[in-house]
Amino acid sequence: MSLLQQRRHFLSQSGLGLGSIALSSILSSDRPVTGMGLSEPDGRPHFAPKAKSVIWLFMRGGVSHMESFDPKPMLNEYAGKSIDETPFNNVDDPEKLKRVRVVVVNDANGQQRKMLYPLQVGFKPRGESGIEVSDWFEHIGSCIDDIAVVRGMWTTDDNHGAQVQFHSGRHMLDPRVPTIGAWINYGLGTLNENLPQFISMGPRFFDRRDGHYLGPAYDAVQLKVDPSNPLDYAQPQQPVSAREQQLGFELVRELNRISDESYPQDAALDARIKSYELAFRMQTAVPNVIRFDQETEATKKLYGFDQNETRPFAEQLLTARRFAEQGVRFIQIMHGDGAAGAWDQHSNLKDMHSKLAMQVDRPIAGLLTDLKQRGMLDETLVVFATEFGRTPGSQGTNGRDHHPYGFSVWLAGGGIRGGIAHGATDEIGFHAVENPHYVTDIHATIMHQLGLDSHRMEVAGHKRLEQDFGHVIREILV
Amino acid sequence: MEMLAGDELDPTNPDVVAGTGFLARNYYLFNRTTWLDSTIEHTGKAFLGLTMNCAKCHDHKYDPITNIDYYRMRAIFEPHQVRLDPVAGTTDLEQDGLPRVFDDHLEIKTFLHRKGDPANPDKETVITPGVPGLFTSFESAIKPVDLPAWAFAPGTRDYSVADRIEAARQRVEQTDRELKSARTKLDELQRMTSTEVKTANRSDGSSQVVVEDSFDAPSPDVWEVVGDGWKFADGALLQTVSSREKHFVRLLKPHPRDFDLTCRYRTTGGDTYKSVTFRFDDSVDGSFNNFVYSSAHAPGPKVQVAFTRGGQTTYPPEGRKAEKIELNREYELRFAVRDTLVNVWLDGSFLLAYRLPSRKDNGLLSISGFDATLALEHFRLRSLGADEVLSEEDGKSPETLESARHAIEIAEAKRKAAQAAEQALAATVDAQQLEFGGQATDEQKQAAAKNAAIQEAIAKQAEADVERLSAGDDQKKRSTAESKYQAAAEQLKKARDGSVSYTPIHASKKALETPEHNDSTYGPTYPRQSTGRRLALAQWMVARENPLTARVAVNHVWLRHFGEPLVESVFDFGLRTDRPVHQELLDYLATELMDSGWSLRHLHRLIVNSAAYRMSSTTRDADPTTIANDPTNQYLWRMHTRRMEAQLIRDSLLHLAGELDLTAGGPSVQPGPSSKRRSLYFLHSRDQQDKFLSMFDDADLLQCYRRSESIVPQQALALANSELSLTMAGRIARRLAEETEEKPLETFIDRAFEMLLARVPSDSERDACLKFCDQLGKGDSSSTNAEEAVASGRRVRERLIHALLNHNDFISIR
Repeated sequence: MSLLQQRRHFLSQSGLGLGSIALSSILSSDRPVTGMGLSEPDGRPHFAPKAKSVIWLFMRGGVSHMESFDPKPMLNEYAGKSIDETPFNNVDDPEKLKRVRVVVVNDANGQQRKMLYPLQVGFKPRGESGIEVSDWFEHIGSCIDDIAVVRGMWTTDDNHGAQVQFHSGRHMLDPRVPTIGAWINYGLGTLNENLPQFISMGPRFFDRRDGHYLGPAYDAVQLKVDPSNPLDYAQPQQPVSAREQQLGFELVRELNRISDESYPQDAALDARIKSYELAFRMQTAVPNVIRFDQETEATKKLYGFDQNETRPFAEQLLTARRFAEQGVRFIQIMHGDGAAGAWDQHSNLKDMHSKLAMQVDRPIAGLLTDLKQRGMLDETLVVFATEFGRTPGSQGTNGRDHHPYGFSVWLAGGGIRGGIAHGATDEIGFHAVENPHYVTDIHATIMHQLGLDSHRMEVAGHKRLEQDFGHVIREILV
Repeated sequence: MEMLAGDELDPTNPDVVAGTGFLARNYYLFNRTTWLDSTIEHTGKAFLGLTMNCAKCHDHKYDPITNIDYYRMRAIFEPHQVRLDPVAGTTDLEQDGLPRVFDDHLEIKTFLHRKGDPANPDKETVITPGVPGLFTSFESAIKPVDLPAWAFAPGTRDYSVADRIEAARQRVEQTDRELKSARTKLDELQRMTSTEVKTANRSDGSSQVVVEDSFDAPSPDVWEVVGDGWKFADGALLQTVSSREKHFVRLLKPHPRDFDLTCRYRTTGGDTYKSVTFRFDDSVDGSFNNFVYSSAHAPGPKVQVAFTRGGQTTYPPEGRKAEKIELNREYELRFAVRDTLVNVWLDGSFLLAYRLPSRKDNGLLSISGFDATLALEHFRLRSLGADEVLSEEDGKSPETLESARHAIEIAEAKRKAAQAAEQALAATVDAQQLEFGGQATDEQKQAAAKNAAIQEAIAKQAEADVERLSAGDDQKKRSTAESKYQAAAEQLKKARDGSVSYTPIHASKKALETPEHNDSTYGPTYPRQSTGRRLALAQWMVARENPLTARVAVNHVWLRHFGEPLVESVFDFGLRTDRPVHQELLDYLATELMDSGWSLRHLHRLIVNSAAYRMSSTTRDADPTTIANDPTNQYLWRMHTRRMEAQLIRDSLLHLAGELDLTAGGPSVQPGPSSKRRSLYFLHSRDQQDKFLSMFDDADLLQCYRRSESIVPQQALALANSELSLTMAGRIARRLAEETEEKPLETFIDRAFEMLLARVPSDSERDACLKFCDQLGKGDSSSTNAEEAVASGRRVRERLIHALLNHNDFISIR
């Protein structure tokens, strides 16, 4: 065993707490170096990290901020009135509205809706902090003292291209650039040589790549919660003994190594050797994580395994915790099927939002509780996000349209201050008026907690703009 | 030119018309503007390297293309529609057909959409068709193209006519046979009524057992095992993975047409449906089959007879019997099939009888789970003895003399209908030949048309008669049939007085223009003229003065040889794109391409004979200054290493094993592990993608100007673990072992390297392989007898081949 291998072996045996980050990052410095201009990350954080992993929960389609984490009683008061007839008629300010870049001109959706639509659900102050959360999210509400709600989010796409925008910081009409998960994957070393660092579960939006100019090596590995078949071709489809597999693997590695001597600096070959080795280890490591037989009934129940509605998301979240425990850096879970995403309630908002909220509320609260009980919440950053909010006005008789001018997301754990609501939208939830944040501010904040300076995340030949880097939301940090 | 205007260029040449499939791909049912937008976008990007799509709402931001130019381009495509033309050999367009475009609405006008909004057209100005204003100096004049009947009336094509006449003749023969068998049955019944023989459940010694298997061990000469999860254990064949994918065991040989199948099995678990399926009459692509299955789905367990036609599956209620199927209980399912009649038994009791709509000769038989894990204990398949009689449709009541007589009546009506249809077809052929063929007088034409109309109505009446007779006691069916009969009688009257015309053969199928239409919206013939707009566009594309088309084409060819293009943005040669480093080379090759009469062969030859193409890809002996100054090889001081495209990887695996089916052309085939056709022929749509190919950056569904080349662990898993690579490794090893028989292992290794990696191994590589074989062979040292030693040697070679298939150099082109 070489020294490097010994270290790896040691690492995989040792607990993967924060203490091992510095050591493990030494190991990840064997990434291929392409030289030129900006220095590639060496796997070491830029400064001491607070968090180790991110669990990224993304509700596809657009969750109504007013009916989740940003209550607006004025909507009830002025229900049925046109915005023009209310004291809030200044929201029409063209300067503010022109921020949005329209993708589909005169699309049936993504329009201004004037007739104010009353709240479809009640609110209560929750926890010691007394932050109001809607009754559809009562379980998450019970964890509010660990959560920082960011109420002044804004974005610029009035259609579901905003999903890509929330992950990459760039509008649909811009070129595709790396997503937050890919940047984390790129910027940090691995904590577990047997698992991919960036995992994705659930329905994906139309852009299926993450790495883009960073390269496909930084794409998420798509997994499904199916212990017998977690990822395609995970097991030989014909009988092959473990010994045959092991010897065959060693031969391929040796032959590729010999090739490497004839073709030095062949980045593709290097990448293929790495991915081949990872594949071999993943075969056993991945199914070992995606199984619940070592989990107690109490834990399973906590996530919502006992209810048909919550079980699918519960399984994904428990899997996410198990991956985080194993040192996977970025676990991305999308919720909501369909091309646009299930949360896209142009109609039937009450029925559908309550149903969808039910699918995720208990599992997410279960995840936060479980992480906390295990002492993992401090080093695991949980993000709850969606691409935009929904209009204060009604669409049709019982829906809300897309609303990019103001919406809410929240963060918890990983050094985030709990029990605060940061920023605000105006009284009808239209514009982000206090501490407004563009989507990349969330990226910068996550990177900061992982010990990365977003301004140093750039590669030669791909200039990033100031807005791409974002700004750390310091007010929500511990 | 073929891709944009093959139908106008050479309207009767299917090979040329097929080129317009390029345009047909943009078809979009729900929105004509989206459809035309894609057409314009991809015409611009594919041939001109122009992002014309950016000029839809306003003038192009970077390139001199105006908003009006966009709509001039739209006007070129405005009249065109898509249809499926018949091809020789089949009248069923679902089975095979040629997708193509044609001009349908010759007079339709184009307007500019203000700000790109289709709801806000500028009706003041009609936009005339034309090329972008910047390039009009060499624009071709638009000349309408007169089409021959072959093109605008596809039903007049010789093969369309011949295939239909043949089908009609076969139908007559079929009804003859049915009538004969109905009569025989009556005779039999008359004989049997005296002796009271129970007909349904009689066993018969004269039939032959085809397969009997108790699944104690694999029988690779009988069964083909496809997909994940199959295991032999405890004297049973287990499917251990519950899935909806195509994992099945299939008899290598087709089953007898009339057969009796008995299988003892357990459903051991699974997801929703927990079905165990016995599929027969299966076509290789799975688009046609009949099947019987049991489902242990808790809310409605059942046994069901069902069928798949053209990929669509039907679960007829008459073929269903609710039956309590439990998990982990052994059942004996038996079913017998004679012609279209199926009888099903469960644990010895008769369940149901059902008539399938049709059968197929030489079909395949397979067993599979759907959302189920299962254990097969015993299987027996025998051919059905000639005198074994199955119970009719209504399983409970055995056939009576009366019902047999009624069956004869129906069979007679069917034969009459078939004969009438044959005559009507002949009359239609005569009429359309005169109508579209030219040389006849109006009187002749009218007489033939009238005759055809009459025959058509008579045939309809005969069909309605069959329905009337078959309706039995069903009042609803009866009244439908009756009204059809009356309508046909009415039509006949009108045909006789000349007030209704005949219908020419409807041999093609137009793609619906909007969701509001249906197939009956469209007639059998199309406009006799095409506008010639697309032909003019195509001529302009390839004009010597056009600076773009040849450059774009050359860039694509270069990309596919070198792995890197000369112009990075392969579909955007606009002003925003950087000047290529090798612009002179690009222009030289573009000129060569045009001067050679657009000979791609000439272009390929020039490229592959170049010194640049023949360079090594290694950087090992490179001058450090070169590496430092040009690390990305912009100046082509070495060859780029390329990864094989997905299709190439799959085809190579099959071909090296001698398994690739090199048949060219024909209809698309279903993707999947059992197909041996070249990957090129796979159906490729949002719903149909090959899983193996998708691992290796398969083409984007909507556009494929350039593939990405990702390197992800899933690719390694696919090559290591897929059925495809494991099976092919075995076959390649067997092939090579035969070839290198009695030669030392080194020879096998050398040949394997040559075959799989196209080079000889270095000494260290050979040593590594020898060491591997030695180690793996030792693992089996318990085997003392010679036979086992041979088997172990074979396995070692197979594993060696498998390792080489996982070598980086197998999928890399250096």
